Amino acid sequence: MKIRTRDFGEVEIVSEEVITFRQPIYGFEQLSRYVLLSDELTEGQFMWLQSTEDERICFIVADPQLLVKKYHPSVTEEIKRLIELNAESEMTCRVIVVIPEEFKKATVNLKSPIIINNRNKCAAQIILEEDYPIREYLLSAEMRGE
Amino acid sequence: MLILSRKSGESLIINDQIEITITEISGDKVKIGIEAPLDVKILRKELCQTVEHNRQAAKSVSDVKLIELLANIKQEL
Repeated sequence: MKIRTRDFGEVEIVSEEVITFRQPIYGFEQLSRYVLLSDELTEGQFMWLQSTEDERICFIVADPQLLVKKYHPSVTEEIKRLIELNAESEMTCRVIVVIPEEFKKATVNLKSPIIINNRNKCAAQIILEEDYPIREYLLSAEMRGE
Repeated sequence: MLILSRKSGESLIINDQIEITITEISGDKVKIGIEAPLDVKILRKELCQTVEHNRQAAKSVSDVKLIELLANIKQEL
């Protein structure tokens, strides 16, 4: 099926790729279906989480494992049941990036990752009990020019 | 900021309407009970901050080629 996207125009996707949020992205409770889009330049590191219901809504997400050493979000039993997660191996974790006009000050929210079940494409944004920052700079102070 | 000491089971009352009770203390965690009128909105702070972060994240960077920008950031990481 074809969907309209914020940053890539019209894109052809297969319905199996559609991710359904059973616990929505906080502040965007009216939207539950998204797709992950990638670009070869940023592949692996950054992806686009595009709403299939509202083309204007799109989040840049990053792989936290490539940003932080030892990032082990603990997923509660309640969330595991919600998205039918049987094993950690079938889970993908992504964090949401904010890119301000001054792009070197980009931040990621490590406290509230998105957990996706790769098998059934059900997802949830969760807030971790662990002490992770809501705004962690992507770049070091030196690279931010501070 | 007003700081008060309370023991487990003790409460405080705000504006004659809201009662906050420390129900349990264990290690570095406290359990708090709140009795308030229905129209009082109570949220964990990190949830409010996550909503704000998400709203900012959904705003597109104007007039910038996001892909190249992200590729630049990726190289600097």
